[in-house]
Amino acid sequence: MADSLVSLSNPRGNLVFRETAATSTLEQNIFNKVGAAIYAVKIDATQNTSEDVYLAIYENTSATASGLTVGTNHPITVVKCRAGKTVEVTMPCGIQSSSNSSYFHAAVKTSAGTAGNTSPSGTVAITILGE
Amino acid sequence: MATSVIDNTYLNTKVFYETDLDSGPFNNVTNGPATVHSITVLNGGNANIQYLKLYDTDEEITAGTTEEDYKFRISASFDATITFGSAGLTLLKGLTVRLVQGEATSSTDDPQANIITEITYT
Repeated sequence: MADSLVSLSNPRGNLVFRETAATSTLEQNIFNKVGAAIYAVKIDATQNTSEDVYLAIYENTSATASGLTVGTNHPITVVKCRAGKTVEVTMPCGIQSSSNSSYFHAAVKTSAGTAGNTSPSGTVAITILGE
Repeated sequence: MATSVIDNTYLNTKVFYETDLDSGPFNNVTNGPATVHSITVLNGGNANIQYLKLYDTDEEITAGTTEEDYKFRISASFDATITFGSAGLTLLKGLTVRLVQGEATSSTDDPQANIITEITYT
């Protein structure tokens, strides 16, 4: 498992969060800031061929995602990726934070929507572009 | 509420256009398996956050109960375009779509205004 956060020179979407082995354990405060926006998502599940997976993005007011539980709290965004596939979603208007005091967190699980906190059986990489 | 569909044998691209997308699901708008290329939600005239919920199914869903396969926050007073890369978004069964005020699975609250939504697919 390895994650990274890169600053790009592009004025829109100058933050790239990557996790090469995402699980249902929350990636906390993915952009390391409050009031962020998300412009694109990529899920690479080519090494996860047994089951479909779901990237869930959460928002709350704690940088450490205190009080946030995968499988209980409702994600603000969910993106499905079929087993063994990749998916890219771009949102040029952005998914905006609901306030300047909230943080984005992310997890990958095997159930749609809110329910479930089971990690993928294989390796799933995620890339989230934002600012 | 008015729905228009461009779906004929003369064009490869098909379009679903709805003038008032709300909590009531539009079931299987693609009439079977499809590749979705873009979705535009015109929420610019509405000062409230909406949540676009998508389901890959050709069966009727239950609004407020069925967990969504895809969910996107549509920011307040923003028009939003969502695109799915060069390959598009492959749906194995069909596309069911609804738009609600709440992120919760149980939300069945309609948007406060009529929200135009356009979906292109093949």
